[in-house]
Amino acid sequence: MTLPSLLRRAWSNLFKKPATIQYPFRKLTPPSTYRGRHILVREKCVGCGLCSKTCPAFAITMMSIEKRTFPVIDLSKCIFCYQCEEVCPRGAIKRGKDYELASWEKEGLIVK
Amino acid sequence: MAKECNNLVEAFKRGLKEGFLGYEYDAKKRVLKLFVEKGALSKLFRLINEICGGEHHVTTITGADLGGEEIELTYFSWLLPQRLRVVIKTRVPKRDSRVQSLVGMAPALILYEREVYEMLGVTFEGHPKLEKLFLPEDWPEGVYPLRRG
Amino acid sequence: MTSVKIVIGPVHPALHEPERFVFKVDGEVVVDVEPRLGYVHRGIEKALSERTFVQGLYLIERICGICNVAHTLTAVQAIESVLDVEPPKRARYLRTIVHELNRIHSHLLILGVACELIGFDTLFMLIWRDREAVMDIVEMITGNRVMSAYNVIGGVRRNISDHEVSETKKALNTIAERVKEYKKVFMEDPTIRARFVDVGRLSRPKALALGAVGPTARGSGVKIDVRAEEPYAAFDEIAFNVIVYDEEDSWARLMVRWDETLESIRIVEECLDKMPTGPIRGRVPMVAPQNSEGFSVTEAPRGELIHHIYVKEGDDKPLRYRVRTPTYANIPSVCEMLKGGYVADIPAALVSIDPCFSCTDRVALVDARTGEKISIDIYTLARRYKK
Repeated sequence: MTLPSLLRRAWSNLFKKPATIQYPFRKLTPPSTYRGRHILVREKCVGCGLCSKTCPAFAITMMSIEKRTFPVIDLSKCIFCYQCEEVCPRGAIKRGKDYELASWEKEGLIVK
Repeated sequence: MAKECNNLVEAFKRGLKEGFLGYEYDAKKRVLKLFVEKGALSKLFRLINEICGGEHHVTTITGADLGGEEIELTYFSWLLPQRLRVVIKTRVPKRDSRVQSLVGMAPALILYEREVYEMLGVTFEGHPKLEKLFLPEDWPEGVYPLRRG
Repeated sequence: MTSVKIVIGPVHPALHEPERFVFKVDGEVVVDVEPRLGYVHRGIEKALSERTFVQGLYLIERICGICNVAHTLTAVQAIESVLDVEPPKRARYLRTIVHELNRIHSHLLILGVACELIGFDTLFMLIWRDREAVMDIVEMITGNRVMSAYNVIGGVRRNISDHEVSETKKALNTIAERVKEYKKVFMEDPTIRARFVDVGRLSRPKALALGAVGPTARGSGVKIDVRAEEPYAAFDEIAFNVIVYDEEDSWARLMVRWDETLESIRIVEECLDKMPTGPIRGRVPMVAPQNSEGFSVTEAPRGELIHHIYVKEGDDKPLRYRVRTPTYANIPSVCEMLKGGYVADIPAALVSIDPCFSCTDRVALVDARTGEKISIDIYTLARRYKK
């Protein structure tokens, strides 16, 4: 009968520490392929606007600062597909690992 | 496989006579496409049921308004004994968009016909319960979301 | 004999997704069932005809969170058939690996939920803890636990390194052992057998006539599996068994899923061993070369999934996109299997088909965002969805 094996496992689990990772005290680092908050490298950007045109969620708008145009990503619309990173011809958008994205103000959700 | 397919096509041609408009066979993917008149659909399904001995698995119906005067209906099926996918295409004019319902022969079509009715306005005569499936009850009559222009 | 109508849903603890069923009962026995769908309408088919192929792909992925890989794989195959693109061999193997990992996690999910619904919380927690290992592998390979965004037109997005291959194999070994243990519990435990055996009977002729797909059909003796009959991705080069049970009840449908999980683990290991080297992505045209249509059929975790696409020459958006998901095909079978059973058996029967109503309701245009009753014409609504 297999019930004993399940009971055995349940009993031994009583004495092990929980499988849950206690989040605020222990934070996991995601793998290198993880898609988190974007990192925009301004020096490489040429302002072509391809990222804005390709974005499936229409989350990127182009903004002008001192005669150059840069993308501005609205994380409240972003779906983190990173199509923008793929299509950028200069590699100016990089994948970030930051997953703690909650913020008290709307400005916390804009990546410049 | 091509020979079996030829036998099938011959049987359909004999059974449907003028209702049979043409066929295309893709040997690599084992897909048989049949073009028929809308009035010949029920006879075609009856023939298919006879040929497969009832081992006929209906997949779905797609309705598409391609921008012209007609709506194209595509029936997808899988024939188990012959291991062949059959795609049946027929055209329904927008002005007279009535087709005979095939629910008696293929009970699996009961929900698909309702969906084509509510999205494109094709009426399936003989359907036991032809009413809206996904749209809410107070959706205005005569407005078909997937029709163009 | 007076019959009473019981309404279950749209929001109900026994259901994980909103749908409404009206049961006519006579005492404790269900006499008739009427489903009412459409609570998760999102206007996807209409929205897809106004987005480019690449933008539409991300929308298609979000039709369902659990079977997102199956949706993207089918979509990508359908679009490749109309754009005349052939993916490279290594990409086909990588697609198969992620596809089967998706199947493993989906089956473990529903099997855990089946245990929870009958009250067997211990087994539910144990199964879901092992499911976490699968989610970690998927995150390592694709970058995210769900919404993997892995399949693209022409190939896959990311390559797999040797370190990832060895991690995957290690994790899968552990999972395979645990799955065999849990499967034994399902076969022998008296509580599970009492709740699932002889519940939700669906005879083989009815399953075939009502168009049941996936484990719902295979649990009733119908041997159909798209991976074996119309092979796609790398399935024409991988040997595997099609699992069929003849008991025709909920227990059989759940056992089909346990065996399929073991088969999927084997398929992933075989793919990792046999993977050819080479590019993972090819060049893709932006617009359709001619007026054509194409369709693609795959075996999603819940059954046969078909995407049908029409394109016009020179257009970078599809003309008509149709998705028929497996739960949609299983609904007539559900209504049939619930008749003649008891009211208390409704959750047990319903969970055995693995209902995913987000997949079912994705047709046409409903303005559910504002919640207002629709009394404007469709053309104004269509204008609102343009960018």
